[in-house]
Amino acid sequence: MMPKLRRAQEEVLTYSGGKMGVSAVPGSGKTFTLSYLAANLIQKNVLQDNQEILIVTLVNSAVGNFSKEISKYTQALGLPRNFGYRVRTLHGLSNDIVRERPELAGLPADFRILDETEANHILLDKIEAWRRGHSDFEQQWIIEGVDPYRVSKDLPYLLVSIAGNFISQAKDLGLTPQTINDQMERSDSLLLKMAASIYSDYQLALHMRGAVDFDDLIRLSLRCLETDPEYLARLQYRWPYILEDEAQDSSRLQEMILRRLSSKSGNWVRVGDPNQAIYETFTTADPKFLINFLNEPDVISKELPNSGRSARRIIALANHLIEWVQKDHPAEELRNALVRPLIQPTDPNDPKPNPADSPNNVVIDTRKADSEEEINRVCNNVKNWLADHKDETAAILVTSNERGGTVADKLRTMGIQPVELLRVSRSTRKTADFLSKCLKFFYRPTNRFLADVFNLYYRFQIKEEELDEARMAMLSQLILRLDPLEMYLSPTPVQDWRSHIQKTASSDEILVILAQFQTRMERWMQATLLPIDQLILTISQDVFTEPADLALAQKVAAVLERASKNNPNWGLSEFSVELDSIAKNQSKISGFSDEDLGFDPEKYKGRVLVTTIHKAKGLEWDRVYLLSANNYDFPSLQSNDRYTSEKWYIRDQINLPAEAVAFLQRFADGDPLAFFSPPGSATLEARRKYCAERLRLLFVGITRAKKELAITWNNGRQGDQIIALPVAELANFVNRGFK
Amino acid sequence: MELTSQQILLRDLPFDKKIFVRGEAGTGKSTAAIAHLEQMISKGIPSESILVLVPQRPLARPYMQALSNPNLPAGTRPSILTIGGLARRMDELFWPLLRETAGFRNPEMEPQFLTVESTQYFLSLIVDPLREKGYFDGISIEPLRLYSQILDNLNKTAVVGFPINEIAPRLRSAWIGSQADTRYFDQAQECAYLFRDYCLEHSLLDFSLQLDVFYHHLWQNDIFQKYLKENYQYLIYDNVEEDYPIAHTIVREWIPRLRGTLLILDENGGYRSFLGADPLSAATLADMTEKTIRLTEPINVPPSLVDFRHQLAVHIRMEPVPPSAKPLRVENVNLHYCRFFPQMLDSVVNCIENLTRAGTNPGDIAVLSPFVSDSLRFSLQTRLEEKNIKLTTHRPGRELRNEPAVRCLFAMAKLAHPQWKLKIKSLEWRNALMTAIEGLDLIRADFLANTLLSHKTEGDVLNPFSQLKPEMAERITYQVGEKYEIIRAWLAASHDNTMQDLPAFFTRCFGELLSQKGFGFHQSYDMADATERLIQSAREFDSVIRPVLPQENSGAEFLQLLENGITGAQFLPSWLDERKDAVLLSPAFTFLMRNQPCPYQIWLDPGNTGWWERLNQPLTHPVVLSLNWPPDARWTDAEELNHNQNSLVSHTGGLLNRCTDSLHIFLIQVDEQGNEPRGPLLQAINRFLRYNPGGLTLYDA
Repeated sequence: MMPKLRRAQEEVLTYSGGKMGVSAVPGSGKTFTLSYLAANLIQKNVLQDNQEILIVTLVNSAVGNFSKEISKYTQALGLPRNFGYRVRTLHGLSNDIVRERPELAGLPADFRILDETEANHILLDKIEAWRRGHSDFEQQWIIEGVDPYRVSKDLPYLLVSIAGNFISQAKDLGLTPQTINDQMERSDSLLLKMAASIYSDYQLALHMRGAVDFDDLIRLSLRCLETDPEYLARLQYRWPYILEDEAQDSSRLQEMILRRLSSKSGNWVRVGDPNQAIYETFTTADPKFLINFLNEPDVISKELPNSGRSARRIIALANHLIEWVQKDHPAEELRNALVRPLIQPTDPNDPKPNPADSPNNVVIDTRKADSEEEINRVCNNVKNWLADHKDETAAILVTSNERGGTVADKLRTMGIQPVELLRVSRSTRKTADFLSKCLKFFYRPTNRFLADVFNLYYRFQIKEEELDEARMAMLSQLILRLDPLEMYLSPTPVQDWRSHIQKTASSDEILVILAQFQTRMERWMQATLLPIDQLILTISQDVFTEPADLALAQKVAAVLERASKNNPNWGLSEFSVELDSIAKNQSKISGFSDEDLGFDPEKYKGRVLVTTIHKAKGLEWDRVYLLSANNYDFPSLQSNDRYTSEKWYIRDQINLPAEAVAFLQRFADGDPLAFFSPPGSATLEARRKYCAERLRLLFVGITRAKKELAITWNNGRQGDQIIALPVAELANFVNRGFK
Repeated sequence: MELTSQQILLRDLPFDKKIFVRGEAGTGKSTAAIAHLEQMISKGIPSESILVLVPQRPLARPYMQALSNPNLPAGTRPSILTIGGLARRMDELFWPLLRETAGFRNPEMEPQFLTVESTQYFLSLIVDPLREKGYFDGISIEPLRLYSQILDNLNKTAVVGFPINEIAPRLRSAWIGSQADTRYFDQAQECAYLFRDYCLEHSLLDFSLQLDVFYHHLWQNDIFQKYLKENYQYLIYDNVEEDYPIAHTIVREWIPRLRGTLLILDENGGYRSFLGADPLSAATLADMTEKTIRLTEPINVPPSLVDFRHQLAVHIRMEPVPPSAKPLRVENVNLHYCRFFPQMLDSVVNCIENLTRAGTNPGDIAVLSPFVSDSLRFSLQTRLEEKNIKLTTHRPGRELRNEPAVRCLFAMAKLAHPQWKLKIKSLEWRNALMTAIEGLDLIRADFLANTLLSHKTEGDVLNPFSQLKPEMAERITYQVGEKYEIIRAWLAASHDNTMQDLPAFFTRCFGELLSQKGFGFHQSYDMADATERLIQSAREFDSVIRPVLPQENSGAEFLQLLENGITGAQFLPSWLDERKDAVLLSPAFTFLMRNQPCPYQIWLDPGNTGWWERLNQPLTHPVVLSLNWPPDARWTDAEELNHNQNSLVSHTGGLLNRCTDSLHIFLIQVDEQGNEPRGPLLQAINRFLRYNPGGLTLYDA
């Protein structure tokens, strides 16, 4: 079954070997084209039966999408499932490479990979230990007279950010703690000393756990390929074709790994859009790798310029942003933040023609609003819209997970159940929250905590749309009034909680619900004697029915079991705190919700989704709201702009994480005075990079919309922010009738 | 079970011959050897003159079962030993001969024979300070793994027979990585040296030294040889392919002095080669015998599974498939596709339920996985319990510190020994009370722990139940209060007796208190088993470690080591919980070493790379440190691939040779990291399917 292709797509699909770079505009069908290219190659019998096409992509959700697409084609060819291809993120690929020959990386066969939560724990521990002996750091950097309470709440996270970025960058550049320590002995920078010291301690902690973090995994996979040419040759044979998606977010190490793997066959296809590079700040990703690749002499360069995703006015808006940035942005150093090609609409007879424009389908609300007012306006608007558009999709795009949570909460208070796709998916948070509440109760068995457990337990028992909040509240009240508690949970032969409850006139149905809950609780309380992982599994098997929830619980159990192994003194309260950090969106756990493994907006017609612009990449909705378009979230190197990484309590508006990372970069570049430069220049450079990236983020946000787009802004916490400069320009463009 | 004609021939062989028997797995060699042994005893060969030698204890099980047959003449029974067991027994017996000649620097000290855990403990005393100085700084490895790799090296010197100073040069010359990394081999060798030195100083004998001393200092001794001749005249040596070269050397030298021998080799075996087993040197033992017999009559593996075994081997090795090959249809191999791991467990349980409903005995079903974690065991067990199906597991014993019984006994020990100043958290005491008092619930235990446990500078104290306000006492109930008072009084008495001997404390606490009616350990097999293991571990600590490290608070030290997972009888396999009415869950390798057929096998997650045995480790290498590895040869990727492929072929072949009805394979599509698994076993299955479309029965969960 040959799908109908556009000419540009057909050109890409003529590929049979060599290096090819493809610039693809948003909505040009990248995933489809790459999947089809993979299937096409398999169909052409270019593979020996022990070879695979390797597809490398950015996030797990894309892995799921690719796999689904390719297996559709390969199964139609009568091939076994999953045969002939492998889709991996860079981390997944690195894991495969290291796992096969771990000794080349100095690892035992059963090495393990730290989750972000555990890595952050180690960092926090090491930072606390370091702070106890180094009060001079705070004296040097913190502005005198600022509120110490507020500082103490934020400072540990700033230090984690400094150390985390420093470690990540050092690993990317191949700098060991020893190398850095040897060179910086004479430096008097406390910032550098702190970061280097934490790096040493952190790495030692990893070694003692037989573990690696995600950055190590990538670094060590390259080391394996460099160490053993025969192993490299075997992998080169195994993967004779490499197709790389989202290549604009490739990092130096990713490029080095893929370059090595493809160096023998020379078959490497990189597809990306430099305008969608939104992971540059504080990661090692950089769109320059794709841009340079496209200019290499032996690279066939192609474009996928046609997009049938958006209505023409929306395309015009996105294109205008590119043109304005390139020609007229007041900060000249930002004029290369967005590049051509411009997006071209599809032909009228295209299988995916652009949706028609409707009156006022692009709105930029320039009215001033505070944060709450902005959310109210958007939520009210979406509520009205949903009533008339049951078969369409809508998304509210925000700039941070925290704000996403606020929007979702607001929608719920208005009786709208949003779909959430935030840092930690809603179902993951719900699962973690429930398990955390259980542990809290086991730690301190009170009526209040029991009511909390019941509240969430009950929500897992019935469908969200059937939830009766009033009844829920009544049941919670009953539980709060159960006195003594043991009469309900562990009655003696003479105690009868039912008669106690019946005094407050309850129906049989209520008694059944409470009796079921009581049976469960009795079993779980007994299970508190088991190791933590088994306790979690016991509860999960009783409560969760969705395969993804169960899989997540299995993962949570494994994470806590490891935490318990590394911290033999931990008890229920510590485990509960650990789960809380996941539930509150603070820590990420590689989750298993369907959102994490491939999200399909079309499954949620008639509902509104809340997500960040970052998470929205690759997705599309009929109607899109883009919030917080002010000069804090989208600064433009103007004098009145403020920057999130420059903490209010740090002297001279210095961006400490950026300064720490810049030391390393200068050192790696061979600067003999790398560790002796005064701070400041890196802060300015970080501003430029950040502003450029935010322009691209705006571009990504705009291009998520199919039919309708609304952009709004707010004046920030202090009320002094203004509409973002590029958004003001876009508003003028709309007012000029898209001319 | 009826014997085949070949087995009967073997059973009836003359006893004073020296025979070598070989054959594929499943041809009934061990069964015939056992019949031969029974014949020997029945026909009047003195049992005590027969030695049965096996490479590891699980392989002794069928012999032990046969010898417990009441129809055999009464009297002593033959010794059944491993080469290590023999060495240890003889070293102990002939210590007066050895103490002077074997290099022990303090001959007046009594020998201490170390187990794996006490060996690791002593090694940690040497390695930890060096690691703090920067040794192994580029190696990411947990302490216990580090110790075990250093010990692996040391054991290889003994089982293969080369000096300690060859460890690093051998590893170095085979290493293809950065030269800078070879310093870790030197560091590992240095640790091995220092450890050996420490053992000689303190008369400690770890496994390597037991063997070393036995072969180099005892074996050639005339007095010992005389003893051996007087005691053993017949040898039955089964699964020779799974034993070490040093064992083969000893047996080779021994055979001429024996009256009769029966040596048995499994041609598909060699599964323990990563531990130093050497099938090649085993095969050469045939030269020392008068006759070789090959068993060829197969047992009941269905022909289609035999075909599948052959095909799977071709696809694991990625060998070309002849274009003329006819596609195969294997009726009794079923492939089940599941998305996530827990979903797979549900499907497995459904499959087991269907089998048992159709009349299969649960004991005829084995669930096999590369690893069996606690959570896998627990998850499967709870699912099967819901269907009233029992599960038994074959896996190394759980860490003691995770056992509620052990935690309860710890808490008791802390309260009984306030002089140790080990604090007890109220949550810890609550759990101990829930474990100790039968039927005590969490809420009442919580009241007790929070109201009656006082933390004082001289140690934690339990206050009397009578101190509670009446309303609280009533909520907890006076029945519980009574039990609490018994515990309190017992602890107070034991405190007064100041029982320093921890094993004795645990024994009495179990016997006098916790196993009594109304208390939590009463008639609980699991609690008794865990207590037994704890006492064993404490006894080992007391007899081996304490004398070397005279410390006042050795009991406290033991508790802390155990709580931190450094020690804790982790290595005791729980072989005894095998039940015929229960589904077996086992690591695939352990199942193979059990050497028993099973009609229905279930393989979990073939995409997991754990099926692909990983040989190489940062500080040791089983092949490079083996007998047959040429000096100066480099361990290349081709060697690695070839070895791993052969090993996977051997393991899957071994499993299929033991599958007498059907095989169910359960795949997951998303692993713990969110990736699609692509391990070599899965790849081989997929390749099989490509060449044999429709060759297996496919199911979707």
